[in-house]
Amino acid sequence: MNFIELFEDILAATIRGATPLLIAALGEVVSQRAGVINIGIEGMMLIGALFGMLGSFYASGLPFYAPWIGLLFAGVSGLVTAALFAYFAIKLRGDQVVIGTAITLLALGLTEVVYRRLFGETGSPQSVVNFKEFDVPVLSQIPLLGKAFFSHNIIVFIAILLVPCVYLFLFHTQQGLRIRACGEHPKAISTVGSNVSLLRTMCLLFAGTMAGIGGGYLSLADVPYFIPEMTAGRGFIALAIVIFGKWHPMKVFGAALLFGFGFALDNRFQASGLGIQYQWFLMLPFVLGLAVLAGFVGRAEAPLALGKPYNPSE
Amino acid sequence: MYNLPASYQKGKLYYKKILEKYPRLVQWVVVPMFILSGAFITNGLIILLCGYNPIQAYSAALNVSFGSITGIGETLVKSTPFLMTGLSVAIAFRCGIWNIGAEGQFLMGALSATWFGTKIATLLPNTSWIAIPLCLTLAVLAGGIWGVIPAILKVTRGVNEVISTIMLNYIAIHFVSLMIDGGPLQEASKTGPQSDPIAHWVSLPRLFDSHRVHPGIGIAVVLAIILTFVLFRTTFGYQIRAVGEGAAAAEAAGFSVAHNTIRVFCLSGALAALGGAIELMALTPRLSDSFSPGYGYTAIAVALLAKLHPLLTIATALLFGALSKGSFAMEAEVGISKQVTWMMQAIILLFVIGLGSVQIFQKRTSK
Repeated sequence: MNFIELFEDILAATIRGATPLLIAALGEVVSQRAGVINIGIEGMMLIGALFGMLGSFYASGLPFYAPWIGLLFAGVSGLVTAALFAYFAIKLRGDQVVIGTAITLLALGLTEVVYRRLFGETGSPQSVVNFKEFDVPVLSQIPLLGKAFFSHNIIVFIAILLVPCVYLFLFHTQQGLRIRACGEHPKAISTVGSNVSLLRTMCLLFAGTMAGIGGGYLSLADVPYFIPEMTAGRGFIALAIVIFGKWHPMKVFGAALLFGFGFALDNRFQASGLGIQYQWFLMLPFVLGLAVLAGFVGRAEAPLALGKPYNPSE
Repeated sequence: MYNLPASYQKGKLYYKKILEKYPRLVQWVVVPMFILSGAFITNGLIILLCGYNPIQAYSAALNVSFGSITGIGETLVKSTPFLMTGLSVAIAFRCGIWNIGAEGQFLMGALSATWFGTKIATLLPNTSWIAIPLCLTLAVLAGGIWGVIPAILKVTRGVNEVISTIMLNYIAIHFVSLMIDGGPLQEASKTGPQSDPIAHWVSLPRLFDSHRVHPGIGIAVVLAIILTFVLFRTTFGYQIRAVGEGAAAAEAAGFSVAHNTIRVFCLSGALAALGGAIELMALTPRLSDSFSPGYGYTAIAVALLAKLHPLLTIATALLFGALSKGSFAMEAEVGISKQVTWMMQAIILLFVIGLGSVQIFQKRTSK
């Protein structure tokens, strides 16, 4: 493999690796901006990964639509999980950290039990119809960058398109302003007539759907099958990305690329036998995230009311 | 943030009549039993929906966990890491510190024990009486240092400890991987991602031939008793609880929140790390990637179900140990994946939140 091929390869792998993180993190940005810290994101991704695969499996009679049906399943399963979260976090006003931990544990157990029940444990994982990579006409012919940027499956492009959409929604619409106010000063936004609980629930449902789709990407595009615990901490990484990206969709995109780069190097360094251990690259984003929080690399302030249950009657 | 003991206080309103007669019975027996039976039934229904027989599954689990002396011994062995990490979480939550980092602290303790057991112990005289206490002390130090990082970040820079401890968990996981997969602690033959076994004089001895019961269980139980004493009978414990109930009020009363945050985080980290070291020294002589199946996260369920009381944590840790042991029987005899225990833990947690929730009780009492 010559240098140019290696460069293209790593760049393309970075974007592919960043996509599920980006999708989940975009949802998380919205929910955290509304003041709900969704630690269950890992569990929601895992459930999305299982149901995405199941959707595609049961729709295998329609090979063209199968991955899309899978993606729909993934999104809806994430949404349902988020509804469970919302019931406990917003209706019962339980602690969001504990609920998130419970949701993640629930998903770890449930996905494994269900998958094992349906497909057993012996043999190789059940493979399904997945999203195929395709070359964007003309653009993918650009030397050096074409293959890296324009030869992906459709979800990658949709995810990147979502970045400016979420940004515009959060920062340039009235609804976005209300959401951000929910996370900073819920009492104030409640006083001017907005329903904080409703807004937070909606944001949480959006976050769950996105986490589900992010998980679905893993079993429908990354690989065409589901294996238990396949998210391997990606939900928590998405959480780190949100912080490292300072709760801003554009910066979150950059942070996702950084983590994707870490993954891309991880796979290649393991094979290359160079002097540096790949784990350093996996650790780096977390260290950077901590540094950002501590204000060593640019100050980031979390939304003021993040994680605090809101009681409308108080 | 949301405070569990306080919400149980609110729960008292609902149970007022019974409470006036038997307050402790309701608080310490009825509510936990209700949570547990609710969780078992809900979990059973999910198992049923998946097409398994829940009664068969539960009886298989009970039988293997408590049905024989060996089974009980194994349950005790499995409970130890849950107890240590559970205590770690309980003491931190009592102080209002949301330490989600028990997982990382547990791993750092195990890592320090591995380093000591494979590299340092060989330089020391071949005696357990020196090596074991040294190794445990080192683990306590390692956990204390790992625990003090989020404390300092919180106190000096205002960093939310939930987020920082989650990140530190992943740093610890990758750091362990760095050390044992290609790093200096990898086994001498360099074949797999695991360390060499620790020197046999650093290992905790087995107390009986028939099962793996080890002195670490005793250490954990004694620590639970000491912590109960510290928490409820000393000024330090009073300060911890005062800060946990209300930081502003505690500060006004002259207790330094910053000071207590650092002390308790240190203690919490040390407890989890000690758990990791004990687990390594008593059971698995090698450190590998799969060393912890998420003890640090389960610990949250262990501590909350015990209502953050160190003595009650012994009981809940035993329950989770039995579940963990029993899950293998459920897998072998009924065919349910053993990860069903995670589902069980999650449902217990959700029941704790549901019952501990302020609103339910307020609604019912206001009617």
